Amino acid sequence: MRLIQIADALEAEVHHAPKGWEQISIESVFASDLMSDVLMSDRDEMLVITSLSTEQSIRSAGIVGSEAVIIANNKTVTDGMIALAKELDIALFCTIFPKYESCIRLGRIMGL
Amino acid sequence: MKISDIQSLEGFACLQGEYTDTQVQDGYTSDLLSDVMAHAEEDSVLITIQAHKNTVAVSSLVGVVAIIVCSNRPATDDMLEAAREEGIAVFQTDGNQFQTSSLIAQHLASCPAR
Amino acid sequence: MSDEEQKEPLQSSLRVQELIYGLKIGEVMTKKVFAVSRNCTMRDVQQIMKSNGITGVPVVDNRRVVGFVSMNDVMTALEEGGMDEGVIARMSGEVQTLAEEMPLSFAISAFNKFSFRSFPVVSKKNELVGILTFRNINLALIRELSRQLREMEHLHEYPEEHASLELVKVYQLNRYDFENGGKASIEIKKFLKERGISLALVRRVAVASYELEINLVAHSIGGMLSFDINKDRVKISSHDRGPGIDDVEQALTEGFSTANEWIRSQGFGAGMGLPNVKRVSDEFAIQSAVGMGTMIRTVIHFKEEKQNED
Repeated sequence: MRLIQIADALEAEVHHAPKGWEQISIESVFASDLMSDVLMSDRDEMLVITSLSTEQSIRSAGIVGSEAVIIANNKTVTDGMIALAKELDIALFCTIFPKYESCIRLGRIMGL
Repeated sequence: MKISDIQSLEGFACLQGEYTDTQVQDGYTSDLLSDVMAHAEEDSVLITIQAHKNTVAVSSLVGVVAIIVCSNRPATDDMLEAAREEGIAVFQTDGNQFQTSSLIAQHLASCPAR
Repeated sequence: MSDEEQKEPLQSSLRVQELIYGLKIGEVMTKKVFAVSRNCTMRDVQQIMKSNGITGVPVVDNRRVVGFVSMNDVMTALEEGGMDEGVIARMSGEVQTLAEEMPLSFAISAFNKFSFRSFPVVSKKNELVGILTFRNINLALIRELSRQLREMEHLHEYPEEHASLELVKVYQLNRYDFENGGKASIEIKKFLKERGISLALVRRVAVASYELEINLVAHSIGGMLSFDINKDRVKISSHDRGPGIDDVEQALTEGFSTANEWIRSQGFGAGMGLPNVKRVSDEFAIQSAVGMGTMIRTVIHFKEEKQNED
């Protein structure tokens, strides 16, 4: 699926997105609030959904080479997080939906 | 969907089976216990990788009836002990939180609670 | 010393610190040890001290250290007229020993913690193999620093061809500083990526490094992370000043964690950190002593890709 489909499905607010982000392809979704868990994932074209709204969430996603981070649960995204997303040039969205609902919505697109 | 239906899903194992087999109303996916505390609904199933005692304490407070531990993470003995005391079911699956959330949502939709 | 307050320590002073982590006690200690057996007298000890210019003598039984006689013990015996008594009566029986394979940093912690002027050093089999004084440490540091200086001068005269993939860098990390924990890894990741290292390898290095950074921030009282990169591999070492791990095997067990709720609320402390470092590394070694610190060394090779991922 494309990142734009994800943004639409989650009615996401885009805080930062690399150039041409709409067409970025996402093949796997990883949902966790534990960064230690994110750090165990090594898939390509990955998206991280988390309700942990900290700079470490962005860093961890960057470390494993994730394409995008979605902050779920209507959490506040700080300026520091946006700055970091820009520095790493990783897409940063937020959604009002909880993580469970976000997973279900993306699962539908992926035909799960 | 009843709690016992979870057990028959593929790739699921029951780690703590002493519970009253009630209807599951909803799902909640989180590893942040403060979020579970604030947002999880009564009679829901918690999808998480936080397999320790505090997860049970919070679940019991908000009325979560079953905990699904994802990615085959090991559950501590004191977690299962606490869950037994509280009558909360604990399951383990090899699926991750994303997959498990979708799976549970489908089963909730196909056999809705009355 | 106010090295903890210093925000950005000089790389050169960090290099000295890296040295005390890199050298092993066994490489620095005096190997020629004067020890006495249980049936010797205090006068025997005094003779040994006098003729060899030393200030402490271990008492051994079948190569095992059973006691230690310090200069102070001899003075007291002299004052009290106990010079002909056996060492057993006058030695201190609870001896703090150091292990030869420990990093020098552990010894420095020990010197700070206890007021002893020398420590007996024992082998893995717990047999006496040497003695360590502060003088040994100073000499070793001077020797190593001048060797490094010579190397640097040499490099300067004959710059290497593959200089692009060479980096030695040390980062300092403070307790609970989640704000900065991870910055080093991002920098290293960028460095490797820019030099065309494959994404899978970059990710493994970044994951190992990041887990170690978070580990230092969440579980130690502070420490440092150092990188040594050349065209063949990345070496990462993490050293901290304490508290040290009681049971290393347990710490390497998935799901085991001593994290508190606050660390968990930061998204860490699921007990996957060290196992994850081990998983992505080609070589992994850990050493720890309670009250002295923990040292973790890991190597990731650029050549053969590790097969058993996932």
